Amino acid sequence: MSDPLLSVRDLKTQFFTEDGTVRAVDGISFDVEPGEIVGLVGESGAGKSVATASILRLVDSPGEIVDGEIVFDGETLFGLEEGPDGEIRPHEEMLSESEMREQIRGRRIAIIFQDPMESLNPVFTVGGQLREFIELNRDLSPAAAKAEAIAMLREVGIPDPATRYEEYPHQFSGGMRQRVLIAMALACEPDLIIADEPTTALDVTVEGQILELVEELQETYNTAFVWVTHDMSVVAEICDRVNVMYLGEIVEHAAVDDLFYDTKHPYTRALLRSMPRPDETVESLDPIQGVMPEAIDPPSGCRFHPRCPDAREVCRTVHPEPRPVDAEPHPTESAAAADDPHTAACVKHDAFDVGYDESRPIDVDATGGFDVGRTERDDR
Amino acid sequence: MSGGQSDDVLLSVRDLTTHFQSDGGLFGGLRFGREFPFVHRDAEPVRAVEGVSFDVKRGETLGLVGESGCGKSTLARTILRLVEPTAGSVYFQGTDLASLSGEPLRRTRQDMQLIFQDPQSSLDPRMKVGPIVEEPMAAHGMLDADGREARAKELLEKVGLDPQHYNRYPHAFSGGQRQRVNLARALSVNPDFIVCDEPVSALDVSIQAQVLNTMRELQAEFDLTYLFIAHDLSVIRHISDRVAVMYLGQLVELADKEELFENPQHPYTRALLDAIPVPDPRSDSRKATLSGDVPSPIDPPSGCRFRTRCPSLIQPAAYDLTAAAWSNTLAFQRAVRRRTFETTDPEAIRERFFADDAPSGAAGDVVDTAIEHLADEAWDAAARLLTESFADRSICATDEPAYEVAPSIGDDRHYTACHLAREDAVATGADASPADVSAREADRHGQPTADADD
Amino acid sequence: MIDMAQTPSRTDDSDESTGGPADVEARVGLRYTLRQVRRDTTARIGTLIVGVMTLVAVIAALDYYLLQYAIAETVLYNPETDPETVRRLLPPVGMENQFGPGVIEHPLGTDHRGRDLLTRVVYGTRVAMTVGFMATGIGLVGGTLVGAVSGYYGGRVDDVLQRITETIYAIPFLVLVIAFMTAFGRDLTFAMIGVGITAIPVFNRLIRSRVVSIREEDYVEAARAAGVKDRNIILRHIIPNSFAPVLVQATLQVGVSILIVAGLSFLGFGAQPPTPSWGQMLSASRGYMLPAPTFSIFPGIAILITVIGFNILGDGLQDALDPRINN
Repeated sequence: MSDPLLSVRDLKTQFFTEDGTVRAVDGISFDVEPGEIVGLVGESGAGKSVATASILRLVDSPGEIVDGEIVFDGETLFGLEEGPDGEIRPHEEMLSESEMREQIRGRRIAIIFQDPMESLNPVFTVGGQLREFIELNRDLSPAAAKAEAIAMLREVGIPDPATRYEEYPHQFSGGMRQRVLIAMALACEPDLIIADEPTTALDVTVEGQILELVEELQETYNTAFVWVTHDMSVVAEICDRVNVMYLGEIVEHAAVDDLFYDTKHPYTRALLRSMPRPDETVESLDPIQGVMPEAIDPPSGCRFHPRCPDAREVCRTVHPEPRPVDAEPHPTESAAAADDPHTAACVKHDAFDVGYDESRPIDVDATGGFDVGRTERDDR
Repeated sequence: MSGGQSDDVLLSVRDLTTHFQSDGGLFGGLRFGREFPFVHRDAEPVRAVEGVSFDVKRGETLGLVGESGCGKSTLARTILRLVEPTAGSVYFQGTDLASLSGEPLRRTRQDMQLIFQDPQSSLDPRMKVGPIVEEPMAAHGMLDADGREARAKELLEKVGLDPQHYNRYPHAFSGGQRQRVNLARALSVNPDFIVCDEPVSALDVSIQAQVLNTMRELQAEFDLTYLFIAHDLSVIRHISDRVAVMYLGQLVELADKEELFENPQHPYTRALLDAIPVPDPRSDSRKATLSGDVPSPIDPPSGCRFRTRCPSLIQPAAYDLTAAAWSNTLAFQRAVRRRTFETTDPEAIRERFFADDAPSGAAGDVVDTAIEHLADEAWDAAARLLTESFADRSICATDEPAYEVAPSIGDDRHYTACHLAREDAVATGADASPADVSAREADRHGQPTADADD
Repeated sequence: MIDMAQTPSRTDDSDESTGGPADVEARVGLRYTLRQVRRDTTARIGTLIVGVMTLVAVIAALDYYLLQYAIAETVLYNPETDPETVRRLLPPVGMENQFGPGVIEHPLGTDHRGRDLLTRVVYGTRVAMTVGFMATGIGLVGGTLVGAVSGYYGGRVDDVLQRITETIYAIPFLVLVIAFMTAFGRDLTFAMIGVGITAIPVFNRLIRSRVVSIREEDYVEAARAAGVKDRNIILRHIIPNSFAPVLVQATLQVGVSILIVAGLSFLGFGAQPPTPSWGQMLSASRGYMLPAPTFSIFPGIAILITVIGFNILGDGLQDALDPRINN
């Protein structure tokens, strides 16, 4: 199997604040193959945005990438090595800041943000901004860049692009603006696009249009995506493989079908059970007890144990990392199935041998603080 | 206006209309022209809410769903008279709120409360949570200082928070907890009616579930009536008894929840339902059947406001085309209008739009002429011709729809503002008002009714 | 660039700590602001200067109003009376000018009437601080009232009030104050009131723009929806949340007011002799610039230090009250 397009190994990003060190990303590893869409799912505070910013080395003080290795198409975006005196220093193959800026950001790896109004300058025309982007990154003349920009606008489904080229961001609707951002991301034909919750702020019908567009464009350009979201429905719709994040760690990794139909981690399962469904009336929702704690002071052992319905004593002390939890191979959509096992960071699976079955279950209600969301009627 | 008021109905909205001036200020609305007196006033209002009527029954949860810009938030605020209505009336427990002002209006607010979408901005960052919950009580002279504090702590516990956090500031709480503070505040004055403006939209999914559960429990315990506004149909399905759908300032459908989800009558409702993503990788991916953008509320389409995007636009009576021919013609008309293609070659156009079935007769002539215009690059002329000949002549453009159909599930009346229902409707026009009580019955009881001439 | 704040439209649930009530410190309120000020060195110096000045002013005022300069006479000299031995225009101790050598009894020298400069400079603090606080106070209260009402109600009320304040703002303030004092009286009280009135538009502008934006906040609408009276909404929600920039402006305004009144005294309006006031001392020293320059230098330094002190205190407060840092 060929090397993955993007390889993230043991990434750790921390923020040093006066209240303490926030371990926003605490050792995550995942791959992205060329042309696939990998989902990065988690709730607020899980660290997804910090993770994607780290890939592009856009983390600023008081944050810092403290460990890990990020390799993109053979280039080291981030890596540390031990120097001659034993001190830790940036790997000599690691790209410099200017190399990152000129070669990687916006060119080979593009990023689409959630709120298009934040990414588009309101005082310049949309076309102008797109053209400038193309000019800078593809060394075209202004005239050629303009023609390219109009072509891109048409490609992303903006009608009458020649006229809309001259308009300002506020004259576009939310969905249209997001299409413009997609055009900007695609304009330089990157190998990888990081999409950070691009449809969260959009209405459901518009979201559908955008996702359809992304799927079409992906087929045309064979771009890989890292799709960050908290919406499991979006994940089900477009992702090929999925990573579920909780409090700075990846707790489950699987092909999309396996994630939904063969869920292995209690957090993922609880997440799926707590959502209302449009296709059937659910009598009562099953919320996850408690709230996600702060990344400054994560719980001991397994970070999810204070809220986990399957928690046992051993979960308090053992900190699991993701391990393959599937014995038999089974048909999945992704071609890399055999080399990419379904992993979960939960000690109750056989892959861990820490005596889970013998350990005493702990009462979730009794652990930590006042239980938000619990009323007398919850019988758990 | 009271007397004969059915005990069931808590809130009656009749023909409520809210327009905003897009041009405000001293010189607002002035336009310049070439003829004397060179200047005249021409106010073009934003028609945020237009002629909305419905009832809310005591103890129920009425879900109000629609996309951004449909006017649901404005409707909510107009009902509560935080925004002044331009026309229409709101009868709350028998009294027309439009007739109240000043102190009597302020006192009525005790019975109707509002919960906001954004848990962060709806709490004053400089006030502690306890006083925040007490403030409405103080405003209405409930209890004394000690009593209010005790009740505030009791309410905090009721909504699932630690009463010891009485002295904390809002920023010390998470989003879901702040929303609970909002709940506690709304409940403090014992209201009968609570308008919830997208209360869980800004929360994470697992927290949404917690808060929704709490809201249902509180409703049962305190005998509350909710008007629940949301754009997420999954949430609406979970919490509502009946559901109303809004588009561009108007109600387009109102029915019992199960009826709406299983038997939607309005194309917009169907499009919304089709567009909802399902958290299931094996289900069919949703169909994005709607194209284009929502029209501007300043100059909305005539007749049915949804007609410019409706996939089921009704053929004008003058033509007699097959379904496929009509559908192609419609797609062609819209594509020309929105300029979604580049080619002007007649062959290519016919191939692209009319490959399986082309219109004949008068319609065919119009299409031919339009294609000729396009060959001359006269896009505007082509668009105008097509629009006037087809879209503008449909019954959807000429008549405002209002129909009632027989429900297939349950007994609640099913209102739909779509001419597709004109053959099967059990009531039309004024009799089909989405209000709970029919117009004829209302007359007998001296009830407020929809206008007889709409 | 990513900072600690989570993604914009999703409120995060990671703020909650699981301990008792007191473990999350309040990031609003007086105590927090003071703590922030204490951390900033510049602000501390500013506080020190302002604190010292205020203390001196208070003591001087006490002495003037209640004790008839008893303290002054014991420690220094009576700042107002002409001494019997007329030792005019002496330089500070250690220096010598055409009027004679400096003497130890008058460490900073004497003025043109032989009065001790040190005493007069110290007692001039009373006038300066009184003026500064009172004028700023009038501007603050007046401006807040006008701005808050104007901003909250909008419409006609706003139009009328704003046009009035703009008219005041448009007239050159010195002309306005002098005209005011010519009409009502030349002494210090009217100087303070006049300067205060010219400060009203400044505060009005600040408050009004804050009020207009806060008025749209959800929590204000929530209060209205809950049935809270307008008056209470303005007092409990709008003004406390608008106040930060006003506080900063107030510290700057004190310095400005002092300068203005010093200028007025220079022109003969304001503090009348023999009341010691820096501006008036500067005016008196005009004629003696070359022979006895130190006469004008010390009052000038006093003004300088005072205004700088208030300004850097204002800077420090600005940082402390910056909501971005607080959140």
